[in-house]
Amino acid sequence: MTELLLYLYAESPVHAGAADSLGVLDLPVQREATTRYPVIWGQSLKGALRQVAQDAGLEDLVVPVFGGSSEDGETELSAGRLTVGDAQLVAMPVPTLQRTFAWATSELALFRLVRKYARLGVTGLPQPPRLAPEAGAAASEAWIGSGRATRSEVLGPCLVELGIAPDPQLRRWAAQLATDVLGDAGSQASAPLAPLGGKLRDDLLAVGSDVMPMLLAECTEFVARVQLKEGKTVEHGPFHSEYLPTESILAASLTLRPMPAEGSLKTEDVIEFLLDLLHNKLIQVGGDETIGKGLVWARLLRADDVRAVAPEIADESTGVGQ
Amino acid sequence: MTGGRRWLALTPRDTLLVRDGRQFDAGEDAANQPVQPSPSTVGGAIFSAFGGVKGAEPDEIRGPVLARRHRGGWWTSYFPAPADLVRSDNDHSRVMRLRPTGSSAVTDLGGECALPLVGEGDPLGGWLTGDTLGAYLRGELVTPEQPHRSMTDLEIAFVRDDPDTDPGPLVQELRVGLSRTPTRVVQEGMLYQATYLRPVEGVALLAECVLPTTWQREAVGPVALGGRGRLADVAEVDGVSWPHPPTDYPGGRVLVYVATPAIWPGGWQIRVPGARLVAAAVGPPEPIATASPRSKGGVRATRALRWAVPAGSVYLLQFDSADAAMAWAVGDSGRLGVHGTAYGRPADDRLRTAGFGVILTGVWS
Repeated sequence: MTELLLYLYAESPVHAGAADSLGVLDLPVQREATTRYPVIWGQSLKGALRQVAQDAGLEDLVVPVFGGSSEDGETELSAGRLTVGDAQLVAMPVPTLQRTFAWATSELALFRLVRKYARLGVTGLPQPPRLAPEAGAAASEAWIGSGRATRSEVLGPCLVELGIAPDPQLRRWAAQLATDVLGDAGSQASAPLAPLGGKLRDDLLAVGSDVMPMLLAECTEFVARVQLKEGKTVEHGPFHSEYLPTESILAASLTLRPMPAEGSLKTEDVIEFLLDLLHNKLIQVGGDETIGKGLVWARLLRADDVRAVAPEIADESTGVGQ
Repeated sequence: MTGGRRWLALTPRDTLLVRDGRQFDAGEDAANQPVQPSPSTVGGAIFSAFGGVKGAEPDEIRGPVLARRHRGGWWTSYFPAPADLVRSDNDHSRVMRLRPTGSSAVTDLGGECALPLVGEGDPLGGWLTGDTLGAYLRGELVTPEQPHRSMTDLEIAFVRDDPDTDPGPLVQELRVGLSRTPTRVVQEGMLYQATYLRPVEGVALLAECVLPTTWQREAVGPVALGGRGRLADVAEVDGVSWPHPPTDYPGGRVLVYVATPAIWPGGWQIRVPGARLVAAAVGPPEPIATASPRSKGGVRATRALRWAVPAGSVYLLQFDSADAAMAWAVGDSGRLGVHGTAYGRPADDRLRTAGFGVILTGVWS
């Protein structure tokens, strides 16, 4: 088995649609049944990745990796070698009264990320910060220390105390995410998202278990749409769609079973193909494709591509302690 | 990993899709229903974790047992609430136990099950921790002197009073799928929905593996657990065991608690040589679909549907003496007892070695 970690960074609002309407919301996004965290189901993500491979003309890759489909009536149904896990939320942008927005994450989201890294064999990552249910923590001085003993910040609809000092573990996580999601390490300076690294290092906030569900419910985007007749009057609607906002960060575990020894396609070849398709590439997931939704920057990481970002590097990057 | 008994944990990475035995095909059916993972589902995954080599299999796999991992790395195991525990009609916070009681009522059971279990209340549902179930088996949970216990005392987890606030350890998650044509439009008639199970954070499925003394294989993950290629991580765990049996069985009375779905030769009835079935509280039959993708003909040729006694069912047995009860339940000098083992099928039966019919013994009065 080859383990891979796929990061998705939303370039435009993402609508991976759920099964049912929710109250006045006609088209909600997919959410986990237990936590109500937004998610992109593995089946949805796998379909999107398959489409990327098809669009690239890699037909020889599609069936062995993603499985045979019956849609053309000719290909035999078969299981693909690639297992695609759910894309789970790592951090979501929330509106703030300074610095425009910050990324909100949680102990739960970071614990899940720790497990994804563990599957790659990456150790030495910090533990997620432990927070009281109503509390918060910040990765940098930018959110702390305006002369007051404690400071509260408006995050979406919530007022959250962020403590009296940056959380050192969260600071390391901000550096880790900036490196792995945005590719802002020295060798990755050409990555398309690298300029955002400085903001992510400063503006990552962790919130407690009472705050995060509220942010994840209130800070998604709600859009009312209508369908017009030829005469420009409303035929259907309005109907309301929910979107994961631009700048959301998600992560999924991908697992590749070894390719058959007798086949011409080797496991290493498939990994290289997948990297060509998905590393630092803009792909489309979810619905409303033709109105520009669901564009995400993908970064596909192998075990060798990842290392725990040392705390001193994180400190140097943020200027803390200098 | 060497021989002996080892516990393995299968922790789903995200969701599970485990279905009952009914056929389901996208485009032909609109929906399917999930079921709790059965012993055969978990047994197949563990077989894969050990390499999936035919002939190199554990002697037995006993499980699954639902468990939750705590932050310190230790586990709490959970078992379905015994079927003879009910919640008072008048006060749902109080738990009572049905009692075997003589009655003039006539049933179609004949003399097979002499006494009805009597009491008023609604099925308890939910899950007991292993420690609480141990107290139940020892007769310490609900006693004649203390016939009512509060839900808080019992530390009952995942009770479905309100599905929104406590929907259980494996929460149903409805997913809709569709199929697209090469021109990126939805294929007509290919809209379907499936209900996945999402474990609450930290919840895993545990199973005890009985390994040959010469065993040298390591369990390696991830493995596919259930359908749709959903993966679970695999780990060996320490500090987990079946609830301990009582130290004696006064009057030769033995309570049998069914810890995993059981497929008895006698249908719903358990047959124990030397013992008489006095009473039983058995839940609704549970469909168990099995299939062997590795066997000749694959899944379609080997699948079978059986009906199982659900976990949580309870039988009250009467032996001739306390010694006979003790020997059967926990063994004597020459023979192992049945407590914590699969019961009711031949030693090499695949349903037994996969973990169907694991029972725990206790006392009743």
